[in-house]
Amino acid sequence: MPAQIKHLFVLMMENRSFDHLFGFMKTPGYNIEGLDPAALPFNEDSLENKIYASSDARPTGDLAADPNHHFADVTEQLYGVPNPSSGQVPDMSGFVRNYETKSGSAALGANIMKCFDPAGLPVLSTLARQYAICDHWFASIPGPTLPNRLYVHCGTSRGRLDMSPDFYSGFYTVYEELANQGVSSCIYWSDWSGTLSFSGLMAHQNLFYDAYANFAAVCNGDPDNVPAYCFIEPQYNPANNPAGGTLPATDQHPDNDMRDGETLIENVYNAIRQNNDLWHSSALLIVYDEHGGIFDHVSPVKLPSPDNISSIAPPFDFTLSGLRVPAVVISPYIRPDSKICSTVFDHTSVIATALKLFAPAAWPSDKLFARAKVANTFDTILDLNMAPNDAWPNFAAPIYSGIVPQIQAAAAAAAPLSDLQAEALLQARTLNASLPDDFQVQVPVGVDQAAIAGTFVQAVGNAAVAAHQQVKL
Amino acid sequence: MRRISWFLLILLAAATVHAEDWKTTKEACEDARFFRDFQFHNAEECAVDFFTLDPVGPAVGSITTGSQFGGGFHFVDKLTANNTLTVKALYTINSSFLFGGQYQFNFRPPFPIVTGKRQDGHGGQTDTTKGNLFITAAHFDLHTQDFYGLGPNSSLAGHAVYRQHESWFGVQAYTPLVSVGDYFGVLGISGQFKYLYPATDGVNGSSFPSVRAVYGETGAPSSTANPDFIVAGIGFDVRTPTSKPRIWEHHEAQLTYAHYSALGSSEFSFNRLEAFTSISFDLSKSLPKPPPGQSLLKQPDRPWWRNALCMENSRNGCDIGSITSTTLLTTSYTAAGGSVPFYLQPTLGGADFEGVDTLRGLVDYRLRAPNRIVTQIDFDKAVANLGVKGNPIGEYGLYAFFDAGNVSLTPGQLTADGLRTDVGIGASIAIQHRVVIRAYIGFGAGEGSHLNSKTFNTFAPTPQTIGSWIP
Repeated sequence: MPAQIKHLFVLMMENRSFDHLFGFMKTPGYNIEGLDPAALPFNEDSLENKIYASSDARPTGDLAADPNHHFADVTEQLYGVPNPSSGQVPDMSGFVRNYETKSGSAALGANIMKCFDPAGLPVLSTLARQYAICDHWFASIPGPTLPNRLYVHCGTSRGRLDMSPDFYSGFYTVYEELANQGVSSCIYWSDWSGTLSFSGLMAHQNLFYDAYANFAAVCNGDPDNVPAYCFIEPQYNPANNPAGGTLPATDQHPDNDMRDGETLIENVYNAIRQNNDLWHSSALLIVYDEHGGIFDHVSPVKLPSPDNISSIAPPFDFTLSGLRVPAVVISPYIRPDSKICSTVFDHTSVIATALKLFAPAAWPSDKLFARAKVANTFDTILDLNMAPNDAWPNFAAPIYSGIVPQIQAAAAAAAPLSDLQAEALLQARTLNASLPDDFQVQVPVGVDQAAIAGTFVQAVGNAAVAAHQQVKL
Repeated sequence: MRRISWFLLILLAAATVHAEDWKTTKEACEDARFFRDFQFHNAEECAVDFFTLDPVGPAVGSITTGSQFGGGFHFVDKLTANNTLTVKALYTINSSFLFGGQYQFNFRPPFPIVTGKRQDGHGGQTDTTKGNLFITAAHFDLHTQDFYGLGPNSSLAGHAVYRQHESWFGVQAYTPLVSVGDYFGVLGISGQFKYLYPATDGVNGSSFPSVRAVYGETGAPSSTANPDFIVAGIGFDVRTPTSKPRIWEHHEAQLTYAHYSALGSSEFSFNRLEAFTSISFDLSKSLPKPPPGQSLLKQPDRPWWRNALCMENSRNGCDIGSITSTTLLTTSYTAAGGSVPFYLQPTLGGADFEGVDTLRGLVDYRLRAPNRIVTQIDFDKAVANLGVKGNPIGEYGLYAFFDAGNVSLTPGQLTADGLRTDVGIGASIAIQHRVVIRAYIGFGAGEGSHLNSKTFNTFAPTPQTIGSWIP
């Protein structure tokens, strides 16, 4: 009797490109669409020096200035010029110059070509090798975080490319669609979730939200009590732990420490893996929301517009994907011949796969727009008739070239906010202002520091959850 | 009126907010359009930005229990990517003030801390907490502090007051250390080293007599001689790990030791041992699952009385309430003939010098002695969601507590006999099971009833117990 996938877990990390994390995993015996050491790609800097992709990325410190990744910047990264001509083919030539502008020097601009040696990411690279790596998973649009994350929740951004904090409200989500089919789902959030602006979810927050701190305990319990579709949000900001010490950001957004994200990935994997009944009925996807302005050598692909709504300024018709992002599918039922999967996916593939697995009668459906309706599903990587692969991976200690300062791993609690953190803060402040008076959260001193901003946005999230509970007076 | 009160709240909040630069502030205030097409949210942004101009902004709040409310300024700046310098000054309505600076950085703990491994050695959850270090230099001046005499037999009639001012320089560090088992969680270690320069005086204009006049050195040790102190301490704590093995239970235990060395007056040197434990249980039960295929969004709402008994939660269940038990034990040890300065002795009654609830049926600082014990049981129960005109805004809670405690002049006298007890009831507002506002009345301690309220700034950065603004 074939196994059944009853639970799909999705862990969406932040802002790393495929080549940046996985490019140097390519070997003659592991032929992913990565970087060939004999023919490494390069970008030219402003002095026309060739800056080649290299495998010396450090866990933190290389990208202290958050690389640009708004639509206009991604356009320059793809074409090498800010205003490409009609029909111009992306040659992925503008990363270094774009980052020179942001970082302020040619030397720092070269850091955008740095990629990780697989030994520097022992958890992620081990999981990728042991299970399935997707080397053609693309971000949904060539732009920043919020609209890309909208695609994984809603299948569209309704023509939006920006990071305005107000535009999540009013969207219909995969969680509501699943609930309407009688299927449970949950967003496990740490310090913040952009989905807290979804009015449809917040109206039934009891059904859709739980704290990530409870995730391991939930997985350790009866699998029947684990929701079918679980979306996991990393910690976006460092925050002080009430019991002492500091909780680091785990989202791997530059320049947050990659090792903290590795710990999160390992914890999520272990939580599922430790419960055999849960493990034998689950699949876990680890995917990144967008490339974050970091080099990748593969051009975006054409995808259907979800709703034929175009952006006017800047002009964009939503038929081009974003850049490749790392994606790993983990399950005991990975087909041996699918450990390297080159099928084209984008974030709407998550919606399509969840509906296909748990609400087949409602799939394919255009309720979450045209792109999700036709998106490739990654359940095809699984063979539910095979004997489950229960081997435990061995995660080695990370190894890095160069010097990683001792204090550099300190979660940068006092570091300036990245663009994402700043937007999350803005979003939180806007949401906070919309809450009833009695539940607005006092903005703390030093809210432009990551640790304090993290505490604040989490507090606003908590307040929003409480404030949107259904009234039963 | 509602908007005016909100605006005042925003102004107060603004004073604690960090800051925007002048350009941003100007843009926000232009957007606010105070005199035409008024936009309240923009006005709030304008106020926040204006009152928090970068890098210096206003600050509001109290200094400690009894210091009353005040305002001042703060300055926050990043020295490097991992280091922050904060400067703060407050002046309160009873003429108390505080100013000082603090430097902070965080670091990775020495070893990975893994809990919950399987018997075959696989898996587990890695605790993600990092260590941190604070260096603080500050000075405060508390204009009027209350004193009722030392020991368990002091009386309200002995009310006297004193002014306490103190400078200090200190270093505090904390790091998680190791897993001590899947149940107990994470063992951490902290250390402190600080120099105190304390002093006490009389209070001008008070209707109560001064401590020095009424009690003198005999009844209030060190009320005339105020030596400097060097303090060195170490502490251990065990806490529930960040990835909790269980949903329904949380705990923490701390044990700290500190040596207070009085410079030039060795009779005031002493050692302090303090233990703190807290354990809480969330009581809940499962609810029936809806029939297969039925939309989860169309479940009938539970009636209010069912929710009052058991509030729905996000795990197909409902919460009955939570029980929290805490115990705080403080003991002090001196050489023969020595004594602990009265202003460094722990207190019982209301909240203590660090803002910790003690015997809530007594007034603040009511009992004071070198040794104290207080144990408390709190029961919080959510009974209803809040709503205004159909607009959901949160959760009401009922609250009940029992406190028992006492103080003693020597550690050996700190026994169960003669414990003062009180009980109390109150109401609370909670956000995600975290109480943020609580008002209560405590009684039964033999001195009438005492109405008190407390706001829990759940969202502020963690108060630091050592090297903090108040040592």
